[in-house]
Amino acid sequence: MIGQTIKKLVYDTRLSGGLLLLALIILWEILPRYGILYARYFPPFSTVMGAFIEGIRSAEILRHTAISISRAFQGYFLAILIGVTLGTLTGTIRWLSDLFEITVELLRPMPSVALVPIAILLFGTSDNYNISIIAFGCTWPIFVNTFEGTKSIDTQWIETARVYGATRLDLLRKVIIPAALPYIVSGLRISLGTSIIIVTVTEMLASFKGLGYFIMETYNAYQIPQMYSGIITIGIVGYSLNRLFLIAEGRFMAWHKGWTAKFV
Amino acid sequence: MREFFLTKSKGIFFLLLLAFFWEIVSRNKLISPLYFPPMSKNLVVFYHLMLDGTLPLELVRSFGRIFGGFFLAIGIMVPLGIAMGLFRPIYNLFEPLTELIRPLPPPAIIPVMMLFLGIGEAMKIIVISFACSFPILINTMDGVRSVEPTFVDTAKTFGRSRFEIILQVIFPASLHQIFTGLRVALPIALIVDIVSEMVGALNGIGRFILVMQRSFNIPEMYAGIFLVAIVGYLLNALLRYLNTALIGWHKAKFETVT
Repeated sequence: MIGQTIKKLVYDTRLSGGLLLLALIILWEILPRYGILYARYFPPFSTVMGAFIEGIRSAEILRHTAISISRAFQGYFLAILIGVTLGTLTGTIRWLSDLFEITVELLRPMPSVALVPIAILLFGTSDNYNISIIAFGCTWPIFVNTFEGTKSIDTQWIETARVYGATRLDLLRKVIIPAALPYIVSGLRISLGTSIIIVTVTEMLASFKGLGYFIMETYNAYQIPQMYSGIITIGIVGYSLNRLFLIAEGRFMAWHKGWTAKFV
Repeated sequence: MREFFLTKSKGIFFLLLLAFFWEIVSRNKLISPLYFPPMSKNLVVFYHLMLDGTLPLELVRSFGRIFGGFFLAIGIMVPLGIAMGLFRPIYNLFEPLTELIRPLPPPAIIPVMMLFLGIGEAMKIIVISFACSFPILINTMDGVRSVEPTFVDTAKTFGRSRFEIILQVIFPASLHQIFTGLRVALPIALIVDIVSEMVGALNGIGRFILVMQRSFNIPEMYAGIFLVAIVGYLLNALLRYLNTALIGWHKAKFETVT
């Protein structure tokens, strides 16, 4: 009976995983306290949490978080604007895609961080520096997905709309964009994660505000618990943004299932 | 060949036009030639730095780190992914931990690793393999789970042991999906390598670019960036080639059966 219950717990629940996390946290607390891990570099869990709560209370962490999120969003929205526009244009107009193809193929695999020095030359350490790199890095997933999405449209849909006298603008607004939307949305989701990564990186390299700066600054000043609290905060930000996106996607994209199912 | 130029000619023309535009704008000082030296100058510097071995040397150093971290991640995450995909208890044990660590931007752990490991090779290899880990793990897990049950049942009927089934059936059948994970991970490795070199390193291509910017050797900086762009492009092309080579084999062996 007990054996069966344990087997059920092990197979059907993630209790063991929760226990593993708990064990790791206890080790994180104990090992530095007994000097098995160097406490200077790896402070006990409670110390890190103390620094985290203190950072929240004094609003220092919150301030840096707000700045990072604001930069990430500005770059992200710029990327949406560029990516969706270019993706739709190249996806629907043949000669444009021929024109841009090689340039895109060269620029797309380019690691965005390699452009950091150019952006610093251009913008100094102003917000535009972070925003431009974020926009560059986030544009590609959105662009490629929009392009693929507009390419994958069933030509019957377009022809049917034409038969009913749809103008080019109608086609774009009522057929092409809605049909490509699931692709676009998956590009948006990838880019959201990318934007958080790039904002952290750019702030670590050259900024005087933001979470990435906070981590590097506390590292340089040897305020190690604060450094860990900054890293935890970035993790929380990344996790919550992704969650929010998934919730929004579930709510706003639900129509798509019914819509395509009816016609295909 | 002729067809190639017919289809690609517009694209090549556009690229040349951009380079030409850069050249003119810079020569006429419409943008600061200090920040945007003429394209011809950048390319000449690039050519010289390639020939005298400066850039190739930095690249070799970076490649050592990239592939070190990449293969370390493969070595750990592919077996772990197979185990997590096949055995429910192992999945339950590790899933909460991986879900918790996954949203962390990999570059954020660079300072932690610098505390413990300094700015040497170990730091970069660990950070790169951390960044590569999750795409590889998740795709391996998915791949293992989506193996056709008939394959496994057939192997069982022929009296294969569990270990043989994993090695001879499940692993090859999920190789296609595992490769997808590797394809996602390799560009990430390149990015994280450059970041970690910019944050803390003595050499490497990322460090080279940053140092050239700080010492205001701008054409040298562009030369480094061009090299990174070319490397990114070639890695991408290589992965695409390997993918078709692999999928062809995979299709023939597994998809005609079903």
